[in-house]
Amino acid sequence: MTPAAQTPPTQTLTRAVAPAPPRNRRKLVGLLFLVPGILVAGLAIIGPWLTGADPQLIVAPPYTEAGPGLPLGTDATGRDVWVRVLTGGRPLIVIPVLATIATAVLGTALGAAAGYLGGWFDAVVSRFDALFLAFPPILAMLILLNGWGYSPVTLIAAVVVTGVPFVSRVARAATAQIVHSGFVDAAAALGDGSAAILVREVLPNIARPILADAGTRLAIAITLTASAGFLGFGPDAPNWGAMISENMEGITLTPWGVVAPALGLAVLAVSTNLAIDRLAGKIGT
Amino acid sequence: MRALLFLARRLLAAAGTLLAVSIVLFAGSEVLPGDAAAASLGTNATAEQTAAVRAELGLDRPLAVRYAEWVGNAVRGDLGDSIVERAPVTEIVAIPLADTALLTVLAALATIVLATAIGLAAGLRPGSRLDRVLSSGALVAVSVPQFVIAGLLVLLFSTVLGWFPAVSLIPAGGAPLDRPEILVLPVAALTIFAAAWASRLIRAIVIDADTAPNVEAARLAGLPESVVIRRHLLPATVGPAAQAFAWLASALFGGTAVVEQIFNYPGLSETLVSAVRHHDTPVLEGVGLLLAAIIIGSLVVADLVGLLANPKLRTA
Repeated sequence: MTPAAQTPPTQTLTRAVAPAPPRNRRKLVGLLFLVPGILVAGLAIIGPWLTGADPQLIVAPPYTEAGPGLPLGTDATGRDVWVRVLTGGRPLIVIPVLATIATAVLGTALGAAAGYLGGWFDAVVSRFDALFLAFPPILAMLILLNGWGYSPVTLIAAVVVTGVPFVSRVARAATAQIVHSGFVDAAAALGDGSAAILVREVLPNIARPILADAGTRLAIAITLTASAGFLGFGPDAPNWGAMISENMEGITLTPWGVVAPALGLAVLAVSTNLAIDRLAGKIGT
Repeated sequence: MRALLFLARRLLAAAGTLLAVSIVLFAGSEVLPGDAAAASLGTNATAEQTAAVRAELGLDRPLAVRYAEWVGNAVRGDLGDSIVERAPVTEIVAIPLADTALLTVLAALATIVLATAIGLAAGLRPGSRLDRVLSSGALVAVSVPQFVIAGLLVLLFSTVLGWFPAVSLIPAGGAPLDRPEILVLPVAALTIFAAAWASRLIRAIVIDADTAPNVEAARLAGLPESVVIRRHLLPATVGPAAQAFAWLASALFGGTAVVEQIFNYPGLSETLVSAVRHHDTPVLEGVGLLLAAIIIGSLVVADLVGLLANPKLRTA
């Protein structure tokens, strides 16, 4: 627990008039951490529109060094690295974001229901979570790729299957903690149904830990998606993960084919994680 | 006696978990639409040819029957035959598994030392400048994909400085230990990620133990801080830390899958990737089961360590 997390969430009058409390500064810093990530993500999303060039076109001998007309040189088969960097980032934004949203929604629903209902449902969900935690995500991804072959849906499924147990655990713990607090009992006494209580009373109170966890999920989703490309499971279109493995052999001739996509991935993942960490007000749990 | 009972119950639970994993693993890889028979024949096969191969491989029998046979054989140490290489999975997997295990064990040892040091340094003074630097550094390191870390290490230490080889070249018939220098960069790439990840857990565990009633009481009793840490705080962290380190087996394996590819290191990664590419499901299932057994086994060992470190848990 960091000092920031120990401060009570209620804003008293003295706090409101006191000069900028440190929590707000943390949030400001958190937002600043987002800037590089948003820049890279923005470039990755609009990249394909910025360049009209065909990323598969062979423009020069393999591993040509950077020079006029070729800002980052060429890759292992002589294709323009700059064009491939611009066109190869989009799947690494779209797939992880969609997958993380699906993971968060599904995991929260399962975990909150388990924590609220308790009993056999809770027991089953907890067992199931424990089971999947003993399973390296990359292995689960390979099994799905073995069955379905590569498609964006396969990768999203892999992220969801390996991420839901973690989210569900967080949601379950948070729900169990508040479920016997006064306001939940009060709502039940007023005759609200389980679904209404879950949505109106429980969900707003467990949102914080889940959002904090979502940052980790997103970073892992980016890594997993990029790893699939890196291991050779991806579309024919360029993607940053695949670029790193394709161009590794020529790293001594011209490093950009590896360094540019690696930097893109690193900035994306680090920025997301640092920002969420600051915004959620917790480091190192 | 109590400890023995605890151990027996724990082993039984572990066996149950492994059995459940085996069901998920088998169902997951057999139910999915891709079919080994169709894959081994290519796209031009007729329906009769596919049916014949399916019968030969025994794929036409009910799923439950095939699962029972697979698990029954696995218990006796037989993981079935590879469809592509037509050889026992255990034979195909043995050497790559040993090579991957070498990387993993070295990285695990390095991680345990580093993560403990970093976690203690950060956790004993939460909020201090040192803590903020270490925690932010750890967060950065866990965020970056491991092949990115590995790529940057190659760029710095082999391309620019030339200290270590970029590729794990091993003479035919040799083993990685014949040329220990090829192990340095892969182990470093694995350790950076794992140590950062584990140090975050250790930090949280130390902070948690620091506010425990017995530690506070020892402090209030006026014991010197070094005694409080050595006699009260550290013993309380051993159990949870062992649990945290047990997950290394899983985390490090995920790392080897990509790190081995970067360095062309001969290990399980290539075995798995080519199994997926050729739809060699038995190899995938076999490796999956072995890894799950290793991970679950390390969780049991962690429980034992926690038990030995904390006598109070022995009544649990």
